[in-house]
Amino acid sequence: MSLQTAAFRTSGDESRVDVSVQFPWNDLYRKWDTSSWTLYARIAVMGIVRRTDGSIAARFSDLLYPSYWPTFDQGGTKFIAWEKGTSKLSGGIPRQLNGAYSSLSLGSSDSYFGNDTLALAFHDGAGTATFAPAGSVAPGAGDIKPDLASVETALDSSDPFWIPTRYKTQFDLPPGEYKLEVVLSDGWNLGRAEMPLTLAPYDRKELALSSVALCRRLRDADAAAKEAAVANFAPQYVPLVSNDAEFSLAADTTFEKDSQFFAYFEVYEPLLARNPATSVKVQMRILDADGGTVKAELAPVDAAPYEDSDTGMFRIAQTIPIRQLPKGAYRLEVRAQDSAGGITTWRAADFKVD
Amino acid sequence: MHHPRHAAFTRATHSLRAVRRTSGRLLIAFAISVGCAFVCLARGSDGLSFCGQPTSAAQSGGPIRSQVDLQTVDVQVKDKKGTDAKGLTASDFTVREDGNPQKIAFFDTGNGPVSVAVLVDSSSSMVRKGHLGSAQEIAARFMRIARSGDQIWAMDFTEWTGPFEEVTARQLSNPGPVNVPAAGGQGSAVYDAIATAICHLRDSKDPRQAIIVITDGVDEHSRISLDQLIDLVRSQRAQLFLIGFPSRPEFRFFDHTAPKVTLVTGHDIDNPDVVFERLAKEAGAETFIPKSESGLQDALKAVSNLLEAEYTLAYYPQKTSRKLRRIEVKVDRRGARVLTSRFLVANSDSADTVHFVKGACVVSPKFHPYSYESHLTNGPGGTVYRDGFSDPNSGWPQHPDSHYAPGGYELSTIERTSADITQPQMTPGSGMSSSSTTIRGTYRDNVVASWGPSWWNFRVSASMKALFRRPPPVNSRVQFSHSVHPAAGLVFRMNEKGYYALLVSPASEFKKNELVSRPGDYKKKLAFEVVAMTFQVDSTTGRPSFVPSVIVPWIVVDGASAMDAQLTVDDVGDHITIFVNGRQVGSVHDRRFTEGCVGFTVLAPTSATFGNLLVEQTSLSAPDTSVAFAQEKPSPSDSGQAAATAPPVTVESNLVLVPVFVYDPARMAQAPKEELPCARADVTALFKIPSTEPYLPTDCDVTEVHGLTIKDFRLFQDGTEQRIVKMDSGDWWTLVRDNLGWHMQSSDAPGGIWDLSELSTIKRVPVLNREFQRLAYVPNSPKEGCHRISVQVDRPNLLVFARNEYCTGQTRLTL
Repeated sequence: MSLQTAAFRTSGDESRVDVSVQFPWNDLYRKWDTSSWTLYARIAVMGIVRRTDGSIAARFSDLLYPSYWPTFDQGGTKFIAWEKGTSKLSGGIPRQLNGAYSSLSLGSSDSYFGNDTLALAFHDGAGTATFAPAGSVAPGAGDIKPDLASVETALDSSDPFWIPTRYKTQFDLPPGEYKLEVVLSDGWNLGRAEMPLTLAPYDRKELALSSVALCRRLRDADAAAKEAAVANFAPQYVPLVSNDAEFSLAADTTFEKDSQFFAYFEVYEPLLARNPATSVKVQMRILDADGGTVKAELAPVDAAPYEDSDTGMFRIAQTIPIRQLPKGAYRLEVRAQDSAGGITTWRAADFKVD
Repeated sequence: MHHPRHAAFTRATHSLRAVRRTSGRLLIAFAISVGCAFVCLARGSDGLSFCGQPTSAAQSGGPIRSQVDLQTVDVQVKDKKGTDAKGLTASDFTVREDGNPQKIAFFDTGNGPVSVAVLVDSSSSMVRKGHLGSAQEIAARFMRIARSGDQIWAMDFTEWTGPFEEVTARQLSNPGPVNVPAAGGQGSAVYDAIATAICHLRDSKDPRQAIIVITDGVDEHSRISLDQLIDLVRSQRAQLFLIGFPSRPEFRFFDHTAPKVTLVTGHDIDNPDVVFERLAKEAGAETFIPKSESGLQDALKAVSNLLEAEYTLAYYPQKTSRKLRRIEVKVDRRGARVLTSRFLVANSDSADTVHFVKGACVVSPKFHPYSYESHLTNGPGGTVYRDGFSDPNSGWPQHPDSHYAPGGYELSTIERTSADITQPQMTPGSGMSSSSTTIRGTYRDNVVASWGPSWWNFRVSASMKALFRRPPPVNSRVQFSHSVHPAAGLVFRMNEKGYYALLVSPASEFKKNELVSRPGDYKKKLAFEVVAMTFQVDSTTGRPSFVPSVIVPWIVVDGASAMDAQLTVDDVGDHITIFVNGRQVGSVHDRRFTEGCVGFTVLAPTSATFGNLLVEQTSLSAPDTSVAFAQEKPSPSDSGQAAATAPPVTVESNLVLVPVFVYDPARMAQAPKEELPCARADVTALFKIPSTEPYLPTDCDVTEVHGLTIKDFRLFQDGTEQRIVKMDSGDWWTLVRDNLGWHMQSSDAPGGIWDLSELSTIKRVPVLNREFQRLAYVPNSPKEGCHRISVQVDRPNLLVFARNEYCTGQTRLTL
């Protein structure tokens, strides 16, 4: 289980903390019940942010039922009823079909989708399966027989569709020293991770820098916003957007050499309100893990193209070149500097190259 | 034992109050009751999101009518020694109705079966007095002393009603684990609960029916009135037995004869003493007031004895237009006398005044709405409550100190005289100087009025025009605390524990605990303060009071006048943000009170008129709204751990989110024909459109039921109905295309997002976009362990799939 956090200023006195958790989906416990045609799996996450005195400052929890059908523990009633509606059979045994309806084989109820979907059919006792998908050949009597082992295999093969592998959330915190503890449970096994969380105060008078968020995924921000609005997922979630691209905080900060690696951070420049001509530049460098040796100085970044006129901040995302780096542990450091002489301290994020 | 007005009759709401008389009216000065009759009369009816009435339904049906016009009369016969006369037959009795002799069609000597419903008030006020037990438990106790042929039913109720379940002999022999009912919401709906039981019993074939109600008697939430209940009881067969539960100290302050008592919110409720008395006198109820919880068994035994000793006579009355009919029963035995409490009965038409939801014994919100419900609408974030106070019947308290007025709703302490005011004891060192003559006599008085739904995450705003009589003299050097300074403002999250108050006062500066006003600053400066008023009762004297706790000390704001201001409170999770005239002036975190009603307050000497009240529900995505952590049965990795070095991780959560899918089976047959082609086209589109265009899937699931509202759902935890506080809807999953490929996302709760596994290698996937409803409720009793959840939809023939379990957040997890 991997965990990364990043803190960004909000309009108030608090910081918005992004949390990303990653876990191997294939290790999660789940069970297909072929009698009810239900995937039993419950993935739960919870997090506690403690102050240094042990008291709780924030928390979150969430869970997911990654059912193939949204049937939870009540069985595949919907699916069974669905099939009954097609066959007008009662008491039939749900079976799996393939496109060609050959017995003991696996397949789909819909030839268009090939093996990517599963469906059930009912044996009517006379050996006739009455559910014949479009484009398929109706089966002959007695063609369909139960083969639960094959069904299990087929169901297992659909695992990736429905099993989560990452979780992300956000919460607000005032400045202070904290420890974040995150526990993941699949109902059978537990994973736990924790990390310190330091949120520096911000007086809104000086140039400042957010955390450096390490990312490997990006998507079109406008499309993502529209999709999110329709889906109504976490409606108050604030995405990390820079120049029309939305970045996702990576939980696992080990990057392969040829993989894409982005750093997202925000620069807060209060002088902009008084003097829009204020310019800001960002310096970036890669050091070894203990911060002792500089391995690469990256070209300075002019922040102007990244200015968010709505908020008066710079939302910057940069590709981090790691192809030339040998395998090992590193630290990415970022700092900002303005034309008025303001300069921030170095902000760091650790990562590995594999 | 009969006792309509026992001196110690108690109610126990959490409404403790210092009582005083004002113009003959009983004032409960600092009462806080729980609900919103004061607090939370919000069991929303039609589509109300807050304090949602989970039992409401879309359709409303007709009133109860007796299925058989058999009029039953239960009588006791005592001989001249006062003992029960036995061995009588039907021929020994004469029955007259309005003077006309009636032919006895049914006669029972007390040995015949009785259908008995046991109703237990499970509101938190009752629970705090000690767990009496669930309705099931008490019904089982009654069953042990009842006769074998009796049919026993049990129902818990708070401000809503639990399931009406039969107690079987099997449960007696194998009772299973004790299931103490969840501490109910806030206050009770006694009248509605009795009406519900009457409705259920109408299907019983037993001519003899009885309803035993165990309650502390204060009704803050019923949709029907006491008069309507009395009419209903009179028109039905069921005999009513009331077991009132012992008093709490605060009830010594009650006037036991005043018909109404006034809560701190300004709302009047029926005096529970009078409720018992009227039900006894006018509806023939037998009442018992045990002196302690241990007296419950005696009361049950007394009920059983009464039922056993009774003779039941029944006849078919002739139709009459008279609403009330007087029954007389005489027995032809020397020295014997007949005792009956039901000498007045009503025609079944009288029950027309009570309407139930069609197909369910739930008092109809449509026919019996709360007065504020017509002011509720649905907004983008949920429920919206608007009241401009032009309608004097919108339900706000109507008293001399809080009433509708031109331009709004007015609160005032100015008209009071010091004689009206009960002066709480002044604590030494309170800082009040004797020189503060300007506010002497009334300075400690306040007026509070609140109404409407109970809100969870919300924003409330109202305009305020205030008159602060004789504000503190300039440089008076008087140290004012929040409780003595003239002020006016909003109250919010008012519940049985207390409330928050945003107080505004004219002031020029605040330093060294002094709030100083200069005349020239009245129109351009104000000071505000946020106070938490926590309700408590002195354990020795029983005297109730509010304990103030300043959350935000006086802050002076420039550019605003306390005499004419727009006040707004944004209250999400534990985050309270204050706005004056639309400008944010402060924020604070406090989690003392999690939900409650909104309203107004003035601190003397002040009068203020409030207008354009607007309360808007905000998103579920509050900073601290978190779902309870779900945990399967103890896992090997968990159970094998002893005390580990890491501290146990706990999540304290009071909101449980329940995803619900509702399907129409009648449309299942269309699914193959319509869904798959639709999904095929949809997926094809996914891979054709560029990633810069949004993928907005079609809702291909033809079996989904749309248009459901919160009132369509009923939600039960461990068999006890819960109040649904919020309903939200959204997609269950969606597709995400990014630089690495595509995968799905899913979210059952609004606080976070799950990314499903990468599917980059798969190009053809049948994905039906699915919508679901997300119900939110706060468990009545967040007991440790896992709880069963069930969801019903009050529409016929639907398939409902819902999360069926949650476990409390106190699960120890150590690694």
